[in-house]
Amino acid sequence: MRNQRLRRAVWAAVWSFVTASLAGTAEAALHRTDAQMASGTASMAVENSAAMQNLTSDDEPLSTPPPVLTNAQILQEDRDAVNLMNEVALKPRILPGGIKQFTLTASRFGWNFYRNVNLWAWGYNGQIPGPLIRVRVGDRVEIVVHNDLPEPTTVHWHGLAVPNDMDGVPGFPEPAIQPGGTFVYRFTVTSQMIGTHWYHSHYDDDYQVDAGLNGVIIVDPKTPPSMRRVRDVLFVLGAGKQDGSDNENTFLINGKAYPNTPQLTVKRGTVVYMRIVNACAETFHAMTLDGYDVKVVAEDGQPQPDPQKVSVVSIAPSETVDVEFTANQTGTFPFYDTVASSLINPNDAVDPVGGMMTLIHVVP
Amino acid sequence: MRKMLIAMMSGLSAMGAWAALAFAASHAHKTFAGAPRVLAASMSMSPTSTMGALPAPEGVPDAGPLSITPAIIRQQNEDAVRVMNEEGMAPQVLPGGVKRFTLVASEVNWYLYPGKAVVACGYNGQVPGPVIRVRVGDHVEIVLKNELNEPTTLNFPGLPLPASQLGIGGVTQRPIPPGGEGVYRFTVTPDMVGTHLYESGTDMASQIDQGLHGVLLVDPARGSLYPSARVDALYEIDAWMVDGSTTENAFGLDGKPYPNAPQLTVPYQSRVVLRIVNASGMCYHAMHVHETTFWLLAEDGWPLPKPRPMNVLAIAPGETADIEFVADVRGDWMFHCHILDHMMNPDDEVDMMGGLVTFIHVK
Repeated sequence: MRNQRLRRAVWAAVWSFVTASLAGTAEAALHRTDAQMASGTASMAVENSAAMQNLTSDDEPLSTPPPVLTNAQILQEDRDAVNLMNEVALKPRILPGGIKQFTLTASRFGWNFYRNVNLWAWGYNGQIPGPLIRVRVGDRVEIVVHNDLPEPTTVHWHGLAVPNDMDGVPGFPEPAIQPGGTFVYRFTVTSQMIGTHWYHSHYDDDYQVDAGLNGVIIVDPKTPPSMRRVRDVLFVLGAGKQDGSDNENTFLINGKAYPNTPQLTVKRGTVVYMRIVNACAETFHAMTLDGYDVKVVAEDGQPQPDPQKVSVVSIAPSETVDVEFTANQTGTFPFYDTVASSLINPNDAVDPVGGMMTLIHVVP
Repeated sequence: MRKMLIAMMSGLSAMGAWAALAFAASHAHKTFAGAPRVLAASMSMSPTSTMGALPAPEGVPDAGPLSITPAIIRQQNEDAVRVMNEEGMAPQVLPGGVKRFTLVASEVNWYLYPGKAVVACGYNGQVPGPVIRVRVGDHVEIVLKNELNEPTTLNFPGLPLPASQLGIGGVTQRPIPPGGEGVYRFTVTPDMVGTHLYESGTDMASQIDQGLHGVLLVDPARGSLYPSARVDALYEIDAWMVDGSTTENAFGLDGKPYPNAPQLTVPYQSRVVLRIVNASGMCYHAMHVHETTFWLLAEDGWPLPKPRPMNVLAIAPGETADIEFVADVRGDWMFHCHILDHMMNPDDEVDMMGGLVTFIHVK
């Protein structure tokens, strides 16, 4: 653990030195903050020098230039964000006996957050958030997790009462998955698990979750209710730390900041069932849809006994909220966080508004 | 222990620090960080030495490694378990049946997590203060003796008390000066039933996070509030400002950050009620229980007309919440704040997890 922190501190320190002296650009990695947390203290100098020595025999690169992404890659990312909004789920492999097998590979990759801001991130299957996993009650599920990261990781199935050794808390009782290692999470889907839930790393989690190691798992009842006249969509709120910030300063919906967030278009009269997941490590959010009130149908996947209509959905870190509204007036309606500090993109002088916002278009 | 010795060495001589660094490379940064801390402890002023309004909240200074012994740590951990088990302090019963509880506010050396002991303020030498447990119909007298170096008062957020008993220092009450004492008297009414907080009502931005808070439990006139629960346990969330921070940067349950937070063992398939109290002066929290869906039964002592199911409880400073679940999966369940920088101890590289983390063991 300490070595990881040291390594990160050094990466951040070296990289901010390189960028400051050569390019003067933003730090190229999301969430490299440990150097700043310790900066100004006497211990930092020693941490650095100690780690420097370690690094001479370490195969990690000393610094990393910002990722270069092709237009095709960025278009694919944008499609992933739209697909996630439309709840396109990861296809399982069906094993003998009907077991549904999903594979998640945790790795480090370049990601376009908005405009020209490309940063290094950690995620599952090369996307942020990770792919949607969708299962139903009675399914026997196997989720194979490969760790291609430079530090250990685990996956916690937030809100699902899985067997204790599948819960993903390192050491309670299963150890974390080491770099290069694999662990298979196995459980049978029960009715306790119905609803909108999420999965995320539980190792070095303040860092790993905001680096991108989070995703959504939706559990349907054995016989899902007819959603024929309902548009079922998913918005995952995310955050990260750029420029070595100590606080979250980059705010995302489905892995993208406005104006690159996925936008929803529905026909007038459609009932929209909107699942909102707060996958941020640290911050509360307050989502509002201008022009509409929404009904809070479920919280943390649990149907509410007395659904309330609200104009602002307050959502704590790790909570999920399902809301519903009927799109009965046409036009373009912003859906955004009323916490205004979430509406800024660092290093973006072009957009008057950024971050945790998208648009919902209601057409005749 | 080894670290303490090294820290002492380095405190005595800078050369010592560099020598220790050379020989104990793996603890090098820790060693160096320890040095100014030792010096600071001997020079620092106590948290209560400044009179009057402060420009910024004042946290807790380091107490130094010699201020805490294993016996003190054990004693403090036992107090934390008593709070978790909702064991109320024994009152003195006065003629006429009045129950008198005496709280003495004073400084106390408090052990937080490996490498960190602070000069806190506590009631009766503990943080949180002892649980005060009363029943509807009780005539209650709470005596507050001020052994701090600054004025203080006692406040019961949200409790429907007479205006004269509200205890906001300098606003509703003249603060109790150092060496003085004050008395809060009230009769427990049915609308007080449930889980409540008591805390300092003076210089709140500093005093609450220095440790001046505790829990007040009000039972019905007869029996218990949750008779069907096999386990009824209390977790008070507390926050600290350490290392000179003016924002909360360390967090504990029943006074103790993980790994010292008390852990709860419950029988398999039992109904469990957890009373959660946010005694942080400033931070919201988002408390998550693994392996279960729980039901929110009551907020601030008021039962909900319909309990609400969830797995994350968002709780504001000063709020209390009673939740219930059935322990129907065997194992060790993590219970923690999902604001992920609240589950780390600052500067503590020994334990991966810290702060607002504990475990519920279902046996």
